[in-house]
Amino acid sequence: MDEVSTRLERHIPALRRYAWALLRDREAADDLVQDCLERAVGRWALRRRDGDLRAWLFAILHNLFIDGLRRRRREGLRVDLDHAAELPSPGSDPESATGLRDVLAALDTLPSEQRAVILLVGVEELSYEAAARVLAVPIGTVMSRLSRGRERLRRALEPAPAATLRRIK
Amino acid sequence: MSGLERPIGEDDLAAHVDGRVPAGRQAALATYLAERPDQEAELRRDRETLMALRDRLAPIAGEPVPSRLRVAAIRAERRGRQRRRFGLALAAVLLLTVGGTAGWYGRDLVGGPRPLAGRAWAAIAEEALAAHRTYTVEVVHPVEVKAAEEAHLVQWLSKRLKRRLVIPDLEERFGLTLVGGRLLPAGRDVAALLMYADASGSRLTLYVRSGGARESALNFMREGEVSAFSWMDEGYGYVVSAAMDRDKLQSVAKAVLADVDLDAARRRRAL
Repeated sequence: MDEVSTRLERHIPALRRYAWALLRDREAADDLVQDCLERAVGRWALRRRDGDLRAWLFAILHNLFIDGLRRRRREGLRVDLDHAAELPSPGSDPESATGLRDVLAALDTLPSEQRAVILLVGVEELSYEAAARVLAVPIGTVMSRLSRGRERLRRALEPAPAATLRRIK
Repeated sequence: MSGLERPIGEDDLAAHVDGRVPAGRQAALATYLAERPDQEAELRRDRETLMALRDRLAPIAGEPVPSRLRVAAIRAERRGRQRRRFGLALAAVLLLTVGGTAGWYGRDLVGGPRPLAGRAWAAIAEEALAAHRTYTVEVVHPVEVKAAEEAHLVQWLSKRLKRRLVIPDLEERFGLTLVGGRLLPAGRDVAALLMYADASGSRLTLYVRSGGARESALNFMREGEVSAFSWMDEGYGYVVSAAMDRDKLQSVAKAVLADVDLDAARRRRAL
């Protein structure tokens, strides 16, 4: 196996984990990782030699994810009626039934930018500087998204009365 | 030096949760947290949540990597695509030569306006969301005709929509009572907006307009806090919108759909 394969493949498990955490769909997550790797292979000669390969790969993946998000938002999300009926409802989750709120479900309640920081720093263990580079934001923004995200996550995990309709006014 | 140390910041607290406090800051942070047991407990909970999250996600990274993600497979795929692209370019050159003569005869096959049915639901959903945003915040005049005059409301809106408007009963199943309705312009057509409210005052709207496609699947769209399910049936577009979680809104949408279907079936039987 050549050098490029060795260096890239080392990061695939972490890229899959991040992609799955963002999309929560196996096929879609692996599609995202595949697109990311294709781009990485295609641009291998363009990367900074002294740069952090891991951060570079996460940046590619993250940008592809954001592109996909924009596209989906524009097109809306199509749900076929038959297919929609099979979607599991949060109420059928045995953990939520016993009052144990699931940490992934709580993560889902966060805005995607806070979710991304929590995953990159907390799970993928990127440095704050590397996370800032991946997300193309100043490091201060990473820190504030991290603390706001964690606060929100804490609140979401607190035992709370069943969610009802939110007041509009 | 001790009196002049940098104050504890958000970055120090984050580093504490992530277990990466630099050696030089540890003493200052320990002093700070010793005086604030509540905050210390919060950070400990954050740390536990982080560990739980890592545990939940660890199995994904432990799985064997699918073959299609092997770099060798990615490279082969790229090469294949490049070859196909070259093949297509070659085919395009051939088509250009043939197309010079065949193009004129083929114009009816490829040209002309295309039906926009595939995108129509999104346009209708956006109209409905705009109407939802405009009128659900209205305190004094949320509707033109109030629920107390339901018979008049049905008659008026049905006449303008040129179809019998069904006002679904959502009270028993979802605790949503009818507030009333109004008529809205919708391009060259018209639309009816029915508004419902629950006990807490949260509002849901049902938007019905003419000029829709014959039928479509149930589509989901979200804009900020407001979610919408839309579908088309027998030339009419329907959109249910509310700041409600997706599953619940979907059940409301299905209930509305069922009520409209039931009414249509009754009418067909009556004919």
